[in-house]
Amino acid sequence: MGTRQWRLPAALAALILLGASACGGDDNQGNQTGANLQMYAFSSSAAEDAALNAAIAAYNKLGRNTVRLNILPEYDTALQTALAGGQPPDVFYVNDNKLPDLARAGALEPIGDKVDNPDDFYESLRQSFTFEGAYYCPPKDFSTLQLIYNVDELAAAGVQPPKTWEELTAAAQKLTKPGRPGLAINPEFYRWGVFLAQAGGWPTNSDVTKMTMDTAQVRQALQYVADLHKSGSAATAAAVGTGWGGEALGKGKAAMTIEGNWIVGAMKADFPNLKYAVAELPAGPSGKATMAFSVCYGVAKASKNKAAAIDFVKFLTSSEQQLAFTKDFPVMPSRKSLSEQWLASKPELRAFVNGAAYAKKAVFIPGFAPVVDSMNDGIQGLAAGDRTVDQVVMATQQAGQDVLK
Amino acid sequence: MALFRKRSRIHGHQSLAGWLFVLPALAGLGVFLLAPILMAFWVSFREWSALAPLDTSTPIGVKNYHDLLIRSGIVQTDFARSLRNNLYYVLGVVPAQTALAFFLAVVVNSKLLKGKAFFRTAFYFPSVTSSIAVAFIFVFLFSPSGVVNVLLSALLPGVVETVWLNEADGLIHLALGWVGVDSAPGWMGGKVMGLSLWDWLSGPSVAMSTVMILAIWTTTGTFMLMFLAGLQNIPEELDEAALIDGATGRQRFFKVTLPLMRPTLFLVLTLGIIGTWQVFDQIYAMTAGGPQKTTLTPSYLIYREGFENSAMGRAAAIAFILFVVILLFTGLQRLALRRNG
Repeated sequence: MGTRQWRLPAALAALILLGASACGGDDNQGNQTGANLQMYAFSSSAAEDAALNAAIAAYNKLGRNTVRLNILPEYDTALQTALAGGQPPDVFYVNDNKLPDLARAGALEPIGDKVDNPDDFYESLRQSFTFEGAYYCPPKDFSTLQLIYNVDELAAAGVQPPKTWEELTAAAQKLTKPGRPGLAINPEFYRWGVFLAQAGGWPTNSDVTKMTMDTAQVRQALQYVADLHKSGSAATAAAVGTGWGGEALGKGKAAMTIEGNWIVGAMKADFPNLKYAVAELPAGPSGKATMAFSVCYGVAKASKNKAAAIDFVKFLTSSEQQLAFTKDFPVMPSRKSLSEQWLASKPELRAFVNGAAYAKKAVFIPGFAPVVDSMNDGIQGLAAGDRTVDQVVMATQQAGQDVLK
Repeated sequence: MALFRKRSRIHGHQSLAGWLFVLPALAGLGVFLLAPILMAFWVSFREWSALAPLDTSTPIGVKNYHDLLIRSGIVQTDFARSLRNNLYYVLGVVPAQTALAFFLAVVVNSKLLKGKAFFRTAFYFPSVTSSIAVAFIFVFLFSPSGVVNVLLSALLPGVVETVWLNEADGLIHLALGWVGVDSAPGWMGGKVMGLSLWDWLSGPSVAMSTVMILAIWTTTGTFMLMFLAGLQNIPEELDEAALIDGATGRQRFFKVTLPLMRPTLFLVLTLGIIGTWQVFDQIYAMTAGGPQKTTLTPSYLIYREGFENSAMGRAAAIAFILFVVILLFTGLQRLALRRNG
């Protein structure tokens, strides 16, 4: 009878001891072959799942190492728990905006330059995954923001895709019907930021040491977009009862929106009959500008099979695999040399590729997320018309200075 | 009782056996309850990204608490906002759910009601459903072209196109706006915890009020069951005695039933206060803290700081401040109930 009572505490004690002994890692690189690797990824669509599974099956077939894939919902939480427990997956997706936090915490092995022909990757993407001089991980692919519009509506209204802010104002106005805006944009920095960049402004200076919200350029950009909302020719996706720009476009709740490559997959799945096209965003006072978003293949510093993990990442970022991966899943290869091959089967998406030349990275420093939150809060206020540009600029400037100093 | 104590003294070695018997439970509590709490408390005095094992964290004293409560900056303002939002949420939800639950319990308990089992089940039903599922249903109900707007458009003149979950205006601010007060009077410019008095007195935003309606709807059933149990514990003779003494129905309710329900009322209010100060899942599913941070609550802030901003130490500190806030409110409520008794 007594033994039964002791089983639980004994098991618990054993667990704790096991956990403690497992914590002591070493810096061994491990063998390049014969390892069992674990990979964590998030899923943006069924198409991405299929592409990733195919890539892993192809790698496993080579017989060098065996990769087991975990596609996780609530990805950030799951990854964080694994990292905090000291037993992270060997290879995992890293969102560009998470990179500074992960790099600062020492979770990543810098392997960016260890893949084949590293200079082939777009410079702006490499910068997104560089923190304090170290280039941590090779970008797996990328997306840029551009103007997506309803072809039939623009044709019916006799409107050409706008090339300047003035034309955008006029086009949005012309496409606006009673109770329905011409342009729908999500009220957040990761959309409105393109206007900041087009006006020559940005929340921070280029090395993220100083806030530059309180500048004429940022004020001009915010005022421009706020005025579009005030006049009724632009509105948030939520204000027209939709979750995001793509849904607004698909349901006919707007004629134009600003979104990235992901809209292609979503439209195919949800609104296959809508005729839409992608145009480059209109140029602002300081020219063309957009934002790029990317994800990289990170290798955990705590991994015991780093050499094998690097071999696997090398495989994934090879030209052949990148092209296969991005074929059905409409993000773009992160290697410059592949862009024309990628476009051969999707010429209608050229605007997204063109964006790579003038895209800004939307990555700041560790702990910057609350500042972006604060800016989003202000942008929501501007879109709703209950804040002034001055209030938003000053609040974000202040919030940023708290974090940067 | 005395008999037991005497016996346990005689057979002293039995206490060892007793400890052995409760040890599994104690170990479970220790590992899964006490240890995490102590560890979280320890983490709240450290800076930890939670992106690397705990031994990479650094001690920073009371800085997390200082940032949240005293040092002016975005951390303090966000925390103040979350406290304000949740305070209005508690003040709105707790009285409403308690009153409604009591009312429903009295209805279901009444001798005249036919089909009691049906009503009891119907009223309890919202509590059985998954909170996330219900939250998504509410998102549809309150969408611009949703049922609520359709209904209001039919009842009211004109077309109602309110985007409920996207309205950041506070109810008190809105009410003041109707009487012509649109911005802060001069004396309200002073700031408490980085938030102006005018902002503190905003009232819950329209979006938050929508979440409040959801919370009231889903929790009332559970509390109704507690009240029902309490009502059925009251001996019928008491009511009959009062009836014979010539008390009216109203007197019997307020002088006999209500005082006897005090323990249940205390339980319901306490559980209500604890539950409402910890609101998370509805916010996560419906608004994610927006619009304009008017549905940010301490619990959601814990999640945001810990898992999105990589500031687990600060998240732990918020959790302990929230713990103190809940203790304070429960204590206040207890005092108020006792004074009335």
